[in-house]
Formats: sequence, C-alpha cells, structure tokens
Amino acid sequence: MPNIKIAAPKPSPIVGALLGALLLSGCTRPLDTAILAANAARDVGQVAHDLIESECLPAYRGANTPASLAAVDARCLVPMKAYRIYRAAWAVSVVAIQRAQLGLITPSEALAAAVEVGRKGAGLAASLTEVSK
Amino acid sequence: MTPAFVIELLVAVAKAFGLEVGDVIAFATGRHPELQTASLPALDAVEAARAEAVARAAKT
Repeated sequence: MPNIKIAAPKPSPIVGALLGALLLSGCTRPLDTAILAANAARDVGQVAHDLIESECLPAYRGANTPASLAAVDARCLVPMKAYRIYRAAWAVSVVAIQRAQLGLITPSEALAAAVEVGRKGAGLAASLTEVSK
Repeated sequence: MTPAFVIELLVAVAKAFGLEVGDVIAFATGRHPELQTASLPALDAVEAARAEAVARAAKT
C-alpha cells in the first residue's frame, strides 16, 4: 500500500489572527471587551424596545375598558419596567466605559458595569416572553 | 483558501460570537472597537398610549 502523505492545510494568517483575538478577547483588553459587550447590549435593547412597542402600542390603543386595560397591563407593564431598568444600566455602562477611556476608573470597573447590563438583560429577556404571548 | 472563503468565515465567526463584523476586524487588526453611544429609545409612545387607555377606561 503506498504511503500517501497529506499535508495539513496552512491556516490563513487573517483567520489565525481573528480566532486568536476572539479567544483572547475576554482576558487581554477588558475595556475592548466592555465596549463589545455594551455595543451588543445596545442591539439587544433596541430589539427589546421594538418588540415591546410592536406588541403593546396597538394593544393599549385598542384598550377601551378597565378589563381590557388590565389585560394589556398584565402583559406589558413588567416588560416595560424591565426595559427601563435595562436602558438605564446600559447608559451607566456607556458612561463607565467613557470614564475608563479617560482614565478616571479602571477598565475592569467598566467591564463590571457592562456585566451588570447582562444581568439586567436576563430579567428583560424573561419578561419579554410575557409580552409576546 | 480564497479571499471569498476568508470573508465568509469572518462573517460566520462574528455571527457565532454575536459580534459585529466591524468589531471583529477591529480586534483582528489590533484597533479598538468603537463604542456606540446613541441612546436607546424610550417607550414614550407606549406610555402615551397607556395614559390615553387609562383615560378611556375611566370614562366607562
């Protein structure tokens, strides 16, 4: 049987750099990680806002009796409150990152603020299951 | 490995990590990602609609 050697494909330097950067992103540059987290959190918040508005705005516009208002409130008030909290936490994280960029606080403190947005996001996600029922 | 494949892989990896492609490129090239500071929208329209619904319900 012939001995066939197959050369392993050489990984592209671009892909190597990309994967390496992603793998190290959580521990090398806390401020960059905080920025990425804050940017992603903003996208999540925008989606949550659009979902709440699309579900609750027409529902409130159609509520004409105390009973129908109570039914819409049961679906929408908790997600609305969760969104307000999330929005505030995200704003705090942005300010924290900006303060870290100015050297007023440490990057780790900014990252902690971004992590807090993630915690609030868990509550927001849980509440959004109610609004879309 | 073609450039098209590299770009396709870049996009796939970015999506898998939930990242913007621009952010990933920033990491790969050593640049800092740009912080998005545009504020998240408030729920003004929904709150106004609720206030109107409360007023309507109070009249019934």
